[in-house]
Amino acid sequence: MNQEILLLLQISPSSGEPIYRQVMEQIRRLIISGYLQAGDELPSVRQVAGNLAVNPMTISKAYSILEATGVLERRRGKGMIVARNDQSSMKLAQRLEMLRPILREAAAQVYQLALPHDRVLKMFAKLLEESHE
Amino acid sequence: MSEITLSLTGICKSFGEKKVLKSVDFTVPEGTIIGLMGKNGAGKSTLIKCLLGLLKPDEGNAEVLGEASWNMSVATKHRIGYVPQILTGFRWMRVETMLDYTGSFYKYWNNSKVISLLKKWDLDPWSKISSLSVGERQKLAIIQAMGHEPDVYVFDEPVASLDPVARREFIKQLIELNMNENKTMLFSTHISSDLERVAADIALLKDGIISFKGDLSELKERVKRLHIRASKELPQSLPFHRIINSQINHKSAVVTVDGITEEELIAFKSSYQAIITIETLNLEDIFLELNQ
Repeated sequence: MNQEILLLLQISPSSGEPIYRQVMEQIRRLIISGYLQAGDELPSVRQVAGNLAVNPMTISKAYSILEATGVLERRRGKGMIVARNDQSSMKLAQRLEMLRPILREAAAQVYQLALPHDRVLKMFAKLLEESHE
Repeated sequence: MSEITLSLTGICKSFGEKKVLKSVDFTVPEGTIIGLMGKNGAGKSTLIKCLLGLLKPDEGNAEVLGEASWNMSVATKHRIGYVPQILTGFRWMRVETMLDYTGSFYKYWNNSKVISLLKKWDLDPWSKISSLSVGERQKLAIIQAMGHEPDVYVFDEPVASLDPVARREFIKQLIELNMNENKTMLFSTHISSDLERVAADIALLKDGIISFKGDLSELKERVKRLHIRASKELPQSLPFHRIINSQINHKSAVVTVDGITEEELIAFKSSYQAIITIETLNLEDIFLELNQ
């Protein structure tokens, strides 16, 4: 399991997105997609840092923030595991977060096409209704 | 928690009329990897040489592991591994002889480690130094600096001549040393993609001073490029704090800022009826922006 996660984590150091954020985002996705489940163990900071050839501080920063936000839990002797007590409110936030890239892309297009925001929002509201039917 | 391993305070150094360092303050805590960036000629090598006691600064204090650099004891020197930018060596020697010769200067020399590094980096111990490529000589210099297992590594442009495979290998080596043995490392470079992996902190040397020092992620989070399209004519100076560069052309502008608040953005958007898209920048972009 650990080895698989190691292989799944990929970073692009030359992106404007800090590496620790990239790692956080990927772990979140692995959890949301169900690949990682509550109680699953994560590879250690050293394993990840060694494997990706990045500074260990960067990985430990990602882990600490995920721990602080309740996504991961630190287990004595075991390292980090996926948190068991995931509240549904957090799940909503996570699901929302998944939408962000698409919406950001859409927002950029809105800008390029110089569309008025109210019209775009109206259109989106309509699309939401339609998809509900 | 950690002690200061390398420290410069108020360092000034001129060569003739040319002031290269104008009061440099710079510290590296124990166990950190820090990247020193700067354009060609910014004074990176001069800074490193002052730090290691190879050059005497005109003013200021340089210390390594708590000792004044200029009068460093032999014991402290043995705790430093230094790879200079310009490599010297005896061209007639073989790789192995060169390493044995280097080892003979140290009380402690880990020969098995040296041999395993030679293997890892595809260096033939029997090659003559004169027959090595620039990249191979750089590898040799790195191994020479690692054999006595120092606590502090100082690399001056260590990767400039290495191919991508060797660079990755080198970076992995640094990370291992840092993780397993808490080694402190300073390396100067103008290749930012390597720094993005290995360094948690970077320092930028510009116009003779350290113009930025801090967390690399934080730098990426702070420095953003704003693309602005307004419905009104924009003023010649935009009302943002900490503008790094800006290009303004009537109703549109591209501005790079060092930190911007949500409030600033909202206020600007409403007073100029502007649409702003925010672009994130990688270290190379940021480096270019800060050096413009």
